Amino acid sequence: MRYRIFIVLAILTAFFLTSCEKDPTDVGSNLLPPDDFINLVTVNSTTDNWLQNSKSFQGDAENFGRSKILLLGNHSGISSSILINTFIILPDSVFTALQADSIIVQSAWMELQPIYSWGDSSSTLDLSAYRINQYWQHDNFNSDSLNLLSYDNNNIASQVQESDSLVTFNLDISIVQGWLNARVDTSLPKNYGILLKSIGSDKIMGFPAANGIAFGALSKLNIQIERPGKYIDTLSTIVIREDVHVVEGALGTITPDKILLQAGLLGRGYLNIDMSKIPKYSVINKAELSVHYDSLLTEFGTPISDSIEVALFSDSLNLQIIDSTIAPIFLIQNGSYFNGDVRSIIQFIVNGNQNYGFRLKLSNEERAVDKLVIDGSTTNIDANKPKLTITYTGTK
Amino acid sequence: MQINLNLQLHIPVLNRNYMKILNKIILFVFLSINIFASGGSIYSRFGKGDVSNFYFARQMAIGGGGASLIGGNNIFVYNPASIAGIKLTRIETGLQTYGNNLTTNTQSVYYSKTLFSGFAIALPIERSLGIAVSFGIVPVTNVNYAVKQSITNPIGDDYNLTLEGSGGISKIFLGTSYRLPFGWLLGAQYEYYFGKIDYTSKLVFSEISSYKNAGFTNSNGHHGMGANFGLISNDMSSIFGSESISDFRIGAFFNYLANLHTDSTFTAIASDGRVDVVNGSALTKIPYKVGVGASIKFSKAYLFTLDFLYQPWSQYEISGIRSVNLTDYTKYSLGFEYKNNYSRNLNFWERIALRAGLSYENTQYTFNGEGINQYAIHAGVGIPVTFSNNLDIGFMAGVRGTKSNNLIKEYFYKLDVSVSFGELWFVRQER
Repeated sequence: MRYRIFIVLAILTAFFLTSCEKDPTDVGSNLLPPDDFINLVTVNSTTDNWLQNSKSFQGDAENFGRSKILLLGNHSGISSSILINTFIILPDSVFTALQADSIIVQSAWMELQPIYSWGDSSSTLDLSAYRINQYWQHDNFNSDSLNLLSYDNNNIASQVQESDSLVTFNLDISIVQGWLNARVDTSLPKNYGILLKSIGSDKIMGFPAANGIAFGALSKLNIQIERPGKYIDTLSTIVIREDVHVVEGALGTITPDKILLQAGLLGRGYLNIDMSKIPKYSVINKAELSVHYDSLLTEFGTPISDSIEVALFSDSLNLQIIDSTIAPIFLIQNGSYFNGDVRSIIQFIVNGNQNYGFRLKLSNEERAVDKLVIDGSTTNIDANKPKLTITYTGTK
Repeated sequence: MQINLNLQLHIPVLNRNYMKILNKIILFVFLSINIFASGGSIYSRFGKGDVSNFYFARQMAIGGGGASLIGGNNIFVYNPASIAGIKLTRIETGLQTYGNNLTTNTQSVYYSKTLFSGFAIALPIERSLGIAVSFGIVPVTNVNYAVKQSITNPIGDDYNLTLEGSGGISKIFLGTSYRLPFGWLLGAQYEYYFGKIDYTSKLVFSEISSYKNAGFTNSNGHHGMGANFGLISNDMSSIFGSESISDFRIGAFFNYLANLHTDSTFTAIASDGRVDVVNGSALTKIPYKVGVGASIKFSKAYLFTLDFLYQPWSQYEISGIRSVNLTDYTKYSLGFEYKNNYSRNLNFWERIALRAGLSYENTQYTFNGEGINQYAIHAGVGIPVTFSNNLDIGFMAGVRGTKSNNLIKEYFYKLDVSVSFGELWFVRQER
């Protein structure tokens, strides 16, 4: 009896296990109501004559304390200065000798590795250095902070040598001697670092900052010391306590049909394209934003700024606030255009959020001074206007 | 009349071997519930889907009718008056597997699925008065279809368009019966209907495409109440004046639904999340159902049934709007069962019940004036596991629809396995 039932169960199990998931086909699709079907629709702001407007504006003062590159030089009315404070690591023997006042600084020089350039590359850097006399820190250090900074007026840099791969200059050994002595005598002025300026050059160079170790070798302070009758040694320090650069200057003027994006001076753009023709709650499959840049007015650095960051404003009046709930998108250079997929921003708007417009800025704004001029909404050439191409699946 | 409900719960001690067998059956049934499938009849897109008009294997095996049958070793949810014949507390549950080959003039596709066919429990309260109560949950409708089209996009990446429907309506019922004068049986069930049906449309690109997928889902949740009233006559076989004829009965039931409350949510599905677009509610009118049937037994072993079922689906409405693809439903069924007089002296094979049936339906579906009809043959067996417990197997195979006018012809089978446990739960205390 038991076995008969088990045999029956085994046969039935085979039947039930034949239930399986098959890939559907289109059999019967002709019978389904038309409203069940959904289609792709592709539109673009140029062909469909969507309203748009654009303008340039300057962002609020921002601190470049976390920049991965330090900028130094002058070009086209823009100047940049570097503040840097290195920590001098002392071996115990040197520290003991300092306490015995038996260490003499024979020479001191700094090494900087250039990784960026903007302007006349053939121009010389014309570097000068000044001892800083007060405590400072990189966070929130800006041009106002620089104006209030206390530093010596005399240039302590000499014998500046510059090549494509290295910039070196000597420092006044008495200043460096004072920094070493202050390590053992706290009554002496402390080492607050130096301020680097470049007045006469026609270029701006960039060097790795403490945050930019991945970009190249950090700036180095080398000190040759002598303990008379004992040894001569070289201390090399790449431990940077603080570093920052400050860019100063005025944004250039630009006609209303252009948008000026200026790294370093926070030159940014506002672009608003009317998307009201997209049915609310459509699902955006793809959305490409494309902008054309004016190669005659644009001045790239080396390496160039190859991307524009696009974010969504969260206020119709205050252009300093972006919507932090939606991540920015990057437009990548492609010939004479910058374009990228802004699907997530468009979907955010189509889902019922307000369209306050896009904020455009160079993605390397804090570590470069490139000037990018793009054609705006009122440019005479329609093909050069900012263009938004959207593919969506709509409801019926 | 006084009903003495002084009862004592009696926990039966079954033979240990049979308990193991039953445990294995239960385990098999519930493990099988985890096997599902997608894709099925496109016709289920319309109305509330395919309607379940019979539950459990025995009813399937005799053609899906049985309005005049009195439950003995089985629970007939079909007609609530049938539980008056319950002698033991009875629990019945089952599982159904369904295979369907959809064919057109140029294509065919096969789908299969497994469904829970319901659970019911019936308790005799006062046998002399035919008082019993029943409770359970059974499926009422089922929506299960899927189509996929490959779309060539002239200005972008190609994609697949998938349209799917899934879900259905089920009901929980609570019923009772009573023996009227002259031996007629009356039954009534309170029913609560509930369920969710989703209709989804999806655009799917390849994984390497720069386009993101999109989809929309229209989700409808239903709930409402209804009632089922049934009547079964007494044994009228004496009118034939033959000892070989017995159990001639007629039966009828009327199943009424109040309007279902339907809550709809329309959701847009993007690659970075879902957005509920629209929420709404409506009233859905499911038409009533009425069934009549007759049964007769020869030589106390050969049972014949004849049934008719009617449901005017042309009156189906949602928010006052009727569907052009629904028409009135009718079903004719003929059933047969051979079951020897049960005696402990019979061997296993002699105690097996054999069943067969035929059915013809004018289904509720219609397209451009062309109705969708169904023909089916039925068969099954009832295997007595113990004196009061059975394993019933029902099988049905048929054809539905037509290939003309670009419609679909379906060749389908259904296999239902039900288990019915009968136990003595309540013992009247002797005073």
